[in-house]
Parts: sequence; structure tokens; C-alpha cells
Amino acid sequence: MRNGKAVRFFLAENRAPAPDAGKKRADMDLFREQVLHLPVCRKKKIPVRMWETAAFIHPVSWVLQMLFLLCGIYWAKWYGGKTAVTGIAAIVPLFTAVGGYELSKAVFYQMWELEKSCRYDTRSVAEMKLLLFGMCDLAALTVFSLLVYGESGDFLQVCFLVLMPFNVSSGVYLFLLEQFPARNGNVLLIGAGGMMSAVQILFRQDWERLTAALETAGTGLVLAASLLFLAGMIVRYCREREREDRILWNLD
Amino acid sequence: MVGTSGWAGLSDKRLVEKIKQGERDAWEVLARRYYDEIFRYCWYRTGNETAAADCTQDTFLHVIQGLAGYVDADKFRAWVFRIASNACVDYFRKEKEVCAEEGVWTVQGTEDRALGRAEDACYVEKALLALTDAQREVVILKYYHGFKIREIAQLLGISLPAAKARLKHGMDRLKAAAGGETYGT
Repeated sequence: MRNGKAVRFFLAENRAPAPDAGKKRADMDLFREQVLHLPVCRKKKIPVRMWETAAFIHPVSWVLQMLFLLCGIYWAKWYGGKTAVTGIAAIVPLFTAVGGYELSKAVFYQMWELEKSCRYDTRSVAEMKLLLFGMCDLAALTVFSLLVYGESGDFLQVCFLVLMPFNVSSGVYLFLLEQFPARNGNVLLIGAGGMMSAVQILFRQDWERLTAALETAGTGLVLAASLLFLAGMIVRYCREREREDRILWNLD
Repeated sequence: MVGTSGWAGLSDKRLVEKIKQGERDAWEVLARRYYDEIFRYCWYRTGNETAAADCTQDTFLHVIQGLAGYVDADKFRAWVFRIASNACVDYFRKEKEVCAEEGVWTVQGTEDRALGRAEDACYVEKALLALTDAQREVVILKYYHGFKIREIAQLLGISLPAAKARLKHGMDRLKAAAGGETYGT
């Protein structure tokens, strides 16, 4: 476009001067001072928060988590089939107990009061840790389930005794954390984990009848119900986070 | 404290996020990225170095004020320019009021005032300042800052045909001036 080029060439003759260095420095100082008064929003993406939280989790917790995975693989390899499934099923709800030390730190070290005044309160920190452990557990259970499935080929067992308890227990933990944000929330979680584990052990003794009952109800239906429950709790959790993210830190 | 040197490559969106999350050092990167460009824009608009410096300062102070509620971080540059544009309009308005109060000159059009101020400026600057403020704004955004005409329409809150019309009229006048001075032909 000849005319456009002509105008551009014409305008190129007129160059703005550079800003005065002293004035620029003074402005930058003023802006720096002003920007300090900006309110801090909580909003951080969940993956960013998880990454930051992971750095504060004690290495012992990660080692324990790894031990769980190795035990599961060893169990599946040596015993295989139903024994391995029922065995791991009993400890699935207790997976969170691996992080129990982390989750209960706030109470044991009398940190909950301090954490309440921080950018993220105790409950929020615990939720992040739970999400982290949940992801690790899911990876461990997936490896374990694939091993058992490869050995026995019984998908029903894997669904009912490993995946369903995991879905339900994770959903229950999320529900409890949202419902009881008090300082004893973490203790409540560990208690709930123990109770669910006990229920699983009781079911293990009556495996045949339970399998028959679940088959009658429909494998897909039961698994879908547990998944729906977990999904519902995650949606609830995300909504709550979305609401909290709009709150300005220390002004709520 | 995290060093800001690694943040230079971050997008405006990421920097705005960081500032909102309390990492105030990210502001330094953002301010340095746009300070000179906004100063130049204000200078082209006002044709005066002191006025441009004042408008630049006002722009950034308004940006800081608006940052907490700013959501559409993808268009941060356009947003800053919009604030700068408003700062220049405010400057013209204030100056007009002061001059009217002091009786220096009665309410005068921006165009006339700009022409008066540009008596000693170079020919191109004169030609630019001879445009109406609306035309000058579009021409500056298009030719000095590389905005597309659609972006300019959005930035100024006007329709696309209105932006195109302003650009066309501005270019016609500049072409006439360029022709008169035998530039670029």
C-alpha cells in the first residue's frame, strides 16, 4: 500500500524523545510504593498451589508413600488374585493415614492458630496435602490394579475392592474437610479413615456374599455411583475454592 | 526474594497474576516493559515532554489502582493504552479549564491549541498535531505502536467503521502534508 508506506515514512521522521532518566526513576519508586498497597488475592491455580505445598511435605511421608506402593506391587506379584485384592482393599481407606503426620502437624505443634491468620488456613493447607497424597495414591492403586488385573483378570474384584473404596473414602475426606473446618478436622479425617478401613476388613470376611450382592446391584452402577459421589465432592470443593479466591486476604 | 531477572520472558498475563498473588517484584518488570512506550504515546498525543511525563505517571498510577479488579489479562497492553488515552484526554481537559480560568485563552479546540504549541516543532510533528485529537490518536496507535485497526476500535471503545473513518481522514491530511514536504513519494 503505497499511501500507507508514504505516511509511515513521513511519520518516521518524527521520533519521540526518550523519557528523562531521573523522572523515570522517581516514577518507578512511586509506583513501587503504590503497588505495595494493592490487596493480595488468594487466587492461585490449584497445580501451582500443589507444587508449592509439596515442598513443605516431610520426606518421610513420601518414603512411606513409596513403601505402600512397593508393598502393593510385592503383594500382587507373590500372592496375586483375590488375596492381594482383599488385602490391599483393607488398607485403601488408610492411604490417607500415610499423610496423617502431615495433616495433624497443625494440631500437634499448635500451629492452627497461626495458620488461620496466614494466606491459606489450616483446612485449605490440609486439602492441598490431601489432593497431593490422593494423586500419589491413585498412581499407586492404578499400578497395583493393573498388576492384579493382569494376574487374575477379575475386573470386578479390582473395581469393588480397590477403586470403589478409594472413590468413596476420598469423597468422604473431602466432604469432612469442607463440612468441619475446625482445628480438629484432621483428627476427624484419621478417625474416618480408620472406620472405613474397619468396614472394609469386615466386608473381606464375607467376600462371597458381598460380591453376589454387588453383582445383583450391577457392577457399573455401583462403580458409577462411587465415581459420582467423588465427582460431586470435587465440584463442591472447587466451588468453595472459587468463592474463597475472590476474597481478599486478611480482609475477610 | 525471587529474582526478577527470570521474569523478563514471562507474558503480561503471568506477571499480572503474580502481582495479584502478592509477588510485587513482578510489577517492576511490567512497568519497565511499558514505561517508555507509554511515554512515547503520550508525547505523540500531547507534543510536550512535561505533559507526556505527567500523563505517563497518571497512566501507571491508574493501572495500579485498577489492577486488583482487572480480569482480562490477555489484553493487558491494550488496556494500558486505553488508560493512557484517557489520561491524555484528562490532561487536555484540565489544561483547557486552567487556561479558561486564567483567561489566557477562551475555550479552544485541541487542534488549535496543539497547533499553537507546535509552532517551534518540526514539520512532521506540526502535521501530526494539526490532526484532530481523535484522528491523531488512531494514527499514532496504528503507525507508532503497531495496533491493528480492529484492536484500535476495541481499545477506544468505538465501532470499526468509525475507527477506519478516523484513520482515513487522518491519513488523507498527513498525505497532503507529506506531499507538500515531498516525503516518501
